[in-house]
Amino acid sequence: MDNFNTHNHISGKFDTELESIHTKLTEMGKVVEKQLSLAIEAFATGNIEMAELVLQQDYVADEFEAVIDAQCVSTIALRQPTGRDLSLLIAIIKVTGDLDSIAAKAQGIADTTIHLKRMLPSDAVQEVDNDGQ
Amino acid sequence: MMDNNDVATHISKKFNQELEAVRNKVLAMGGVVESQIELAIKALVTGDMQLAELVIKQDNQIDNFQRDIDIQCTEIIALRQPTAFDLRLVLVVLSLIDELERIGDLAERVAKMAIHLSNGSVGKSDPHYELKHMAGLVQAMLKNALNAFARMSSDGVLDIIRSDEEVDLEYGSIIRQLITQMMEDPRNITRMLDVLWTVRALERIGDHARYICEHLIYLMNGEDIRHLTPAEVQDRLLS
Repeated sequence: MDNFNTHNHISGKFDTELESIHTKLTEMGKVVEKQLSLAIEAFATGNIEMAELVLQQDYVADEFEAVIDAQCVSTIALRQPTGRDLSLLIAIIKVTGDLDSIAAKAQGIADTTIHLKRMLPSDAVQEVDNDGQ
Repeated sequence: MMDNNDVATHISKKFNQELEAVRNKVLAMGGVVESQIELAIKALVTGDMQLAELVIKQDNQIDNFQRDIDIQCTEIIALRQPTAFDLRLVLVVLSLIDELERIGDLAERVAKMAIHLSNGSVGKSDPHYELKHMAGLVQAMLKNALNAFARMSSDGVLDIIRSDEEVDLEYGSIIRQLITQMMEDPRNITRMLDVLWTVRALERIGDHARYICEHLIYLMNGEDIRHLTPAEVQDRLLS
């Protein structure tokens, strides 16, 4: 079943709002996935430029989180949803928080990559790449 | 600035009681979490395994609190359809209990490390003093954050956020000390790694206490200040 259920509300505007939150959440998920896989690749190959790229993009997930949360809160306040819609909006606020934590971990991996590169030969970290897949 | 009287000024007396009940439950949950940290640290420093087992066993109390409060909050939103401050309060409570639950998990991790560490020979070189100091810092952060929530005031919250930087410095210094000890005697490494996980857990508790403060600022001022530096937060709040 489609959790977002975006075509069944009397208010077409409400449908549009949920649709917009849905789109943003999906985008956020993709960004975070990308960050994590870049971080793991940077770690496995000892690619410092790639690690720095990950570090530079840390604000992207933060911004998504702030925007999506604000949208959810104003939707709850203005539309006063109940039942499934309400549970969905509350769940999304939790999901953005979790995605942001994952992005923060990706930052941590990138950070460690830069630290490690200065100390270790790069083949020591190949195993982590396999685990990360 | 709003104070806690706001909770008591709804036309529906029942609604007041519901909000009050949720708030009290969050504070009770906070009390349990604080005591879990206290016991876990004590278990670690004294090597008391029974105490550590108790902490691990009691973690489900925190999980139960989280589930109960979660349900209560969703019901309030659905039935009372709160807006403005009331809505923020309920949403903030939902976030707070997640932070508290994670802190509870970290306390449990400290307790597990206490068990690991008590198995080996007692390391004279364990940085117990530093660990206790760092634990004291994060415990104070959590306590002050919960007090601010009890008062429903964001006064002084910025100082709590700032003290997280002190925790991070302490963390860095203990890590360097551990690395030195590992290099001095490689037989220490396994043990020092366990100490490292403990220190890491304490550092994360400090982070979650900071997040609680950030949620409080959102509650009282309506500003989302997550991901800003303390200096930026100050600018934002003064402007």
